[in-house]
Amino acid sequence: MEVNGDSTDATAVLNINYESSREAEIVQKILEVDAEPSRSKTKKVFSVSGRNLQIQVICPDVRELRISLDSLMDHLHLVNQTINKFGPPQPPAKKLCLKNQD
Amino acid sequence: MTIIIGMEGSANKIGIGILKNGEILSNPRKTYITPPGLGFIPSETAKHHQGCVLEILDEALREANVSLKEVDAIAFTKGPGMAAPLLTVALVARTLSLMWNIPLIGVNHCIGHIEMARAITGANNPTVLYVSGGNTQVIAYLEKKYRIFGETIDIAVGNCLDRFARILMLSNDPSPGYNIEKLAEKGKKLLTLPYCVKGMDVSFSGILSFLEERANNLLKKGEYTKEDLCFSLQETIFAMLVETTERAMAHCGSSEVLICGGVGCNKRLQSMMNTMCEERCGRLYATDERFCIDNGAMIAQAGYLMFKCGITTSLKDSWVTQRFRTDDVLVTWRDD
Repeated sequence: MEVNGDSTDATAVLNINYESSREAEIVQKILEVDAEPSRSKTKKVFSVSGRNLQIQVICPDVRELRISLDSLMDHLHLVNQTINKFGPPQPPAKKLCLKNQD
Repeated sequence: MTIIIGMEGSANKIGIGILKNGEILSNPRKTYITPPGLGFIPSETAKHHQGCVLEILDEALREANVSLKEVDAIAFTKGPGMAAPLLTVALVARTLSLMWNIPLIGVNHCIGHIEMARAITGANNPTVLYVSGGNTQVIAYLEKKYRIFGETIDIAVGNCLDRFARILMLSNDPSPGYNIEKLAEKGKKLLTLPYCVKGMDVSFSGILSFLEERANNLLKKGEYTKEDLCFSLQETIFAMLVETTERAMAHCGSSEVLICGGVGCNKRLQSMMNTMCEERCGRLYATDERFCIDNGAMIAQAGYLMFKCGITTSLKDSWVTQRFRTDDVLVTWRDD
């Protein structure tokens, strides 16, 4: 993790390695769903290369960065634990069709 | 055969229920209990849920003897509720969904309560009183929606009870409302409290302020006991709820009342409602704390009904929301 900050802008870059690229992609998809709170000026940029998930967190100041990272870490930890306990991910379904039956 | 997992964590309870063709296989739950005098705040509640959600999921799967590859859909609470706890549960639901290619179903918490209570009691088309720590609504079904006939204009009835319990420094274990109910059984002297019915709506915050200002003085002077105050509060606020429910019944020509939500397991509320129902030759349906109080099975039950109509939620729409009204949901699964 690297943190760069001056008085107007603060950015942190997280790099997390997963067991497979599929795991990294799953975590990216899960975390990308939630929009930042309406008053927040935080921006998150996700990217996956190979088994590595990179998250860039850009905030107007270091204090907001800390708050943002705090909840992001909690969420990452929960998702990682879920993967460890209830994974590994199955091969992706070719088509997500509904088995609508009784 | 349809197996649905239901995950609930919109307030201080976290629960996961598993349903097979509508039959409950397991329904474990944990409550975040704070010390006397303190309420639960969103971030700490979320931390509590994060700490035990996977353990509860494991327990639910083991007890139901179900493996994730057999599961047809994962229902989770989309809202309303506290954002941080809601998100905790949604994150786990999304992870399972993506890992195991299982569709998600975002469920309205209030609809979960109504559908669970209907399924358990067999009530067909009742007037519903939904009373909990976050919601107070009188509801009736009409043309594909659960319509809100009356509701609180400020705090929920359960919130009023919880906060009164904090004034008296009652224990929050198992729940503040339960401890008020037990004390109220021994209350004898009725303190006249403001009675706040406004048309079909109710208001509780004034009653709470009234008590906040006077309770400790009344107790110190020995005019009233804690038991008397609990009794007085219950009698007043429950009378308000029975009055508005009765008016909704008369308006809809309904003869059934269904009570759901956490406050719904209060025996005094049930008995007052039952007296009203008997006078109108109607019938009361109520459930016990297993299904009244927030639980995973209720989310699974609503999810099951939605799934049978082909409703699922895409990943990008699996965000959670603090505000999600009961009448926002199109009830496609009912034909009446």
